[in-house]
Amino acid sequence: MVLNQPEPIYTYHWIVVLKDGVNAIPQFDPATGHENLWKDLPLNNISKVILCPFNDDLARKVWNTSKILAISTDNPIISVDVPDGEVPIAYRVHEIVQYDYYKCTICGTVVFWDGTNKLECPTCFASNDWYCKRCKEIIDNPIFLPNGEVRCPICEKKGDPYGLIRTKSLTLHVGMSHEVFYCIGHSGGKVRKYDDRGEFIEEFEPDSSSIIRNSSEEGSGDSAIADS
Amino acid sequence: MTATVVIQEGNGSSVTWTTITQGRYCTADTYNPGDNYVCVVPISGFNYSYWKHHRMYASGSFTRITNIRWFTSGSVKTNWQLGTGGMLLVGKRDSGDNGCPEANYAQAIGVQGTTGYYIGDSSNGHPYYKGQSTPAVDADNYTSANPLIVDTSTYTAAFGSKAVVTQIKIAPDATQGDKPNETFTFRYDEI
Repeated sequence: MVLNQPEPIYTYHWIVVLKDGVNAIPQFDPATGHENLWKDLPLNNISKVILCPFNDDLARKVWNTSKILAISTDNPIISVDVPDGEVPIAYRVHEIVQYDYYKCTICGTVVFWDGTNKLECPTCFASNDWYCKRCKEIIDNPIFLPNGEVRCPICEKKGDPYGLIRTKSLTLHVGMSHEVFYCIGHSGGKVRKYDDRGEFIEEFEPDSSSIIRNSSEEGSGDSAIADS
Repeated sequence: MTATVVIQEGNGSSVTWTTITQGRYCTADTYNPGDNYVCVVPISGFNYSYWKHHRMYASGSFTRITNIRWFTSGSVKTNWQLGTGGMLLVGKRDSGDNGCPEANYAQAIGVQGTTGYYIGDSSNGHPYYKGQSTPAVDADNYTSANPLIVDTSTYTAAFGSKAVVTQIKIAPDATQGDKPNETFTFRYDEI
């Protein structure tokens, strides 16, 4: 069940140019937004892989057709030439980041706390405290017992142990973010990785899992996908 | 459509996977304990949280998903002040993928409200890891530049991945109380 976890937002789609230099196959059909899958491409018949930023029209069509979230950007176009005999590579690297944060139950402010200073709402200054009903004060240095009990050190000193009450103004929550990176290259060279703004991140040798091969289209401009 | 991927936590004697919107290490086998079953700082030795299974679940259409990896900020034990020798532990296999297949899922057990059993405990540990030469290691070892290999299977249709198994190890000099925010990241390749 999908619940409250973010969908990726895409900024790039691929277009492959066939070896005839004339025909190209886009990831998303510009007329309909229908998605073509990489595995269905004539992978032995590709001379160039291009990462193109979405424009508004295509982003809208892709959403209408497939409910894929894409946004138009001014990102640079990125391309790689595929030498004869090599197999093109294009894939996305996803990172789903699970993070936690505090939320103020008093004013609703979201608080990211790195551990420095006291955990406190920056808007209304609410905090999580231990309170002694007998001393009628907030206790900064409670005594934590292994059984989970928390006692007042002042009452303890008096030889009259007393438990503390937790005031919970900042509650812990879990959030998710979803980041997408784009990798292109070919089997005989390096794979180059870019972030969703087209910034180069790193390059590395391709591993076998990133290479899909097929053999049926060798030397042909035909494919299971309609030329566009 | 492309793949829709979520992170899930597994609980129960027969596993139930819940898409995460909450989460907390605690001393019970429960997805969302709230303020109950808090981790307890021991007087001596170590206490543990109950272990947790986290996995990726993907649906939708995609050519293939592979290379599922996982990593932390690299500074969990210091940020969370888990004390001398305290750390976030992650289950590790001697070879191959480190994630736990669903068929090898094991419900977290321990002394409820006090401590979980150590993943590598020879009698009560996680069956998929306890026989390994190093059944659990410091999760801070696994960062963006050096992620834990969770699952190298190639998936071409909806799937639940192998699960990352983690637990907190708490030393006597650990600090009780609210913990600074942290991040855990699943990374995967989609073609």
